[in-house]
Amino acid sequence: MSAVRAELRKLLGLPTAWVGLLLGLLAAPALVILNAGATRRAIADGIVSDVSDLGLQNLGIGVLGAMILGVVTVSSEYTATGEDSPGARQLTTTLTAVPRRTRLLAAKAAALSLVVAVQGTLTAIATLALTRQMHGTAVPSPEPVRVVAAVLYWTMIGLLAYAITLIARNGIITLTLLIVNSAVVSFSYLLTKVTPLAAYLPDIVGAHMFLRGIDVPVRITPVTAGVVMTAWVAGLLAVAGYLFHRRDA
Amino acid sequence: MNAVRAEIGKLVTLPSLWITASLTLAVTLLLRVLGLPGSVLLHTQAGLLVFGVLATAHEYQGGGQIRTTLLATPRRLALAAAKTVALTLVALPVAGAAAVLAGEVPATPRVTLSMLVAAGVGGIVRQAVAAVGIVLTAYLIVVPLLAARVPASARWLPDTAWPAAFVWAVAMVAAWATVLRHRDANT
Amino acid sequence: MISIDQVSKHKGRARILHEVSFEARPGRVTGFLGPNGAGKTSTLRVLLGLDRPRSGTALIDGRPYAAWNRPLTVAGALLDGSGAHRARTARAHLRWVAASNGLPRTRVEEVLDLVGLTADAGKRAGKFSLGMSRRLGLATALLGDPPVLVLDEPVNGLDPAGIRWMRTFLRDSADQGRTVLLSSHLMGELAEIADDVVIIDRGRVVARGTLDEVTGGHPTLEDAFLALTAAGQPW
Repeated sequence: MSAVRAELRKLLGLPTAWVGLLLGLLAAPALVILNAGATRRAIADGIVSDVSDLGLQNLGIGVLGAMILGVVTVSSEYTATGEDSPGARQLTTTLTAVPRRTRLLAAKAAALSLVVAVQGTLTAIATLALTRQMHGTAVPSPEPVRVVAAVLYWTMIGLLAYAITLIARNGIITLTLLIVNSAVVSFSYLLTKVTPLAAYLPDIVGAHMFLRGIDVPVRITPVTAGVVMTAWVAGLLAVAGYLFHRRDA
Repeated sequence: MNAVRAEIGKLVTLPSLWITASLTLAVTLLLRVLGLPGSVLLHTQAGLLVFGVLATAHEYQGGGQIRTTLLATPRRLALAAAKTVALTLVALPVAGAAAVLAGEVPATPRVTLSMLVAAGVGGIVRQAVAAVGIVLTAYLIVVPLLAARVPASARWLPDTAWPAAFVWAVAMVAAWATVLRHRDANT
Repeated sequence: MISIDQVSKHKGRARILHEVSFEARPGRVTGFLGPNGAGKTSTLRVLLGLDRPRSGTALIDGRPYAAWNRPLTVAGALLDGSGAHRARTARAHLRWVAASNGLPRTRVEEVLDLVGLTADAGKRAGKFSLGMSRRLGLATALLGDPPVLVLDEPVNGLDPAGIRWMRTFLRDSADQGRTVLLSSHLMGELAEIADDVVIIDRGRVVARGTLDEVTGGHPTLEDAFLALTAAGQPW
């Protein structure tokens, strides 16, 4: 427990983490406002395949914040801390305080999940309230279970970023990969045009957990999506844990 | 002139820039071969933007190189000018190669200017991870969104028309030079 | 010749340097003493144009450091760490620094040899031990063969052999007519090599003069230092 508290404090003490926190909180509501006109037109023209998606759809962009949080949880440990000692990293201090590495990784993951889940919940509430404000009953509120699934997706993406950064030990590579994939025309989405298998990449399969009208060549139910997504996160965390154990700090 | 030569030497002996450039070119080629619909450069410009950020932000990474830089070239504006010239000279072939591999040769000047914008942000923010987050979010998410939702803004966005790209590059580099000039050389 | 005249500096609200004035003359080793946080490093950073003073001037041979065209040929500085990017090899680092001041590449090999890093010149700076980092920093300072040397805690991280080497090197540099200014909080070390001493405490110069003058009636420089600075006050 004390390890989780320490990790929580470390994470919230980072300026870059606050960039992630605020970006995550503000991006989705901002997108609701920016998209308002287009959404109204789309509803009027009847080209939206599932109107109940609209409230949750804009939530996707805020996941960027969760990614940044996942990345900095790790990358801050690998940054050199001082000029005097060229090899010094925060990780050295961390591992002397919590030498059991699996426990350390679990504590970090727990702290991250907590922060990201709270962020996801707040953002979901704000986004849905704002959508209701702007579009009234034209956009029906999604069932609570779908909102929970969205927050779960949000948390899992944070953990995914965490695992990939642990494997790569480099925040820049992970961040680039993840942002390229969150772009308006997502890279994974384009890949589905090349091979249907790309629909099982984490970001697309994860979106199936809470959205219905996603235009991909295969049908994936929310439950299948949840299972595949969990497998991705668990698999990558396992690889990250294994490597973290084997490597020198 | 000496300062420009030193800055070029600095850029070409930095492993992270070689890695970034090679990865970007390799992925560009791969996507082209895969036959990804739409512009390939739209995605792989991310690598070029990271290149731009690292070109300036690497000074502030571990080791305190910025101090050595400021001791060797203490006139800050001359230093910013030398860095801008050096980066342009190094960035142009990288951007050009990416554009050729993507089959979008006319995009070369625009992408090179984007790299200068990224360098400006990297020099101001000084934290490579944070600067990469800001630049990529701006270019890959905010700009396309604004262009799609607020068409009137397209003329002023750094990534859509090249006069705007030029103005953004000049403005960003000028802002960075001003910051460099006035701030203590924190490491 | 280093002349620091009435230099004051603030960081936010706090005044970290208050009208600091002293000189360091050619042919002499000037020791700049003070407790941690007294303003030693800040003074040196102002002298080297890294930080800006609120008022006052800091000149090297009559001009601010930043006003010299090829500053590395006027003054060499060793601050903390190596000043090299972790991923760059020692040789690549020295080469770009040499290029920045129009110095020939042969000079890079000379300074590598001088500090004993020739065999490790192909290693990345991030892989260096603390002592090797300091030697790389010194090699950088010596590239322009400058008549003025400014060193911040130069023996930090050096092993006994390295400390002796540094002491001999600084003594020889001064004997050849160079101006040597070094900061330290190690009194014993400084008493061994300094000709002149400047003591700074909480941003103010509290004593300056030759080693004998500053030591004055006290048995050792350490006693003088503790008597003059806050570090000596009972708590």
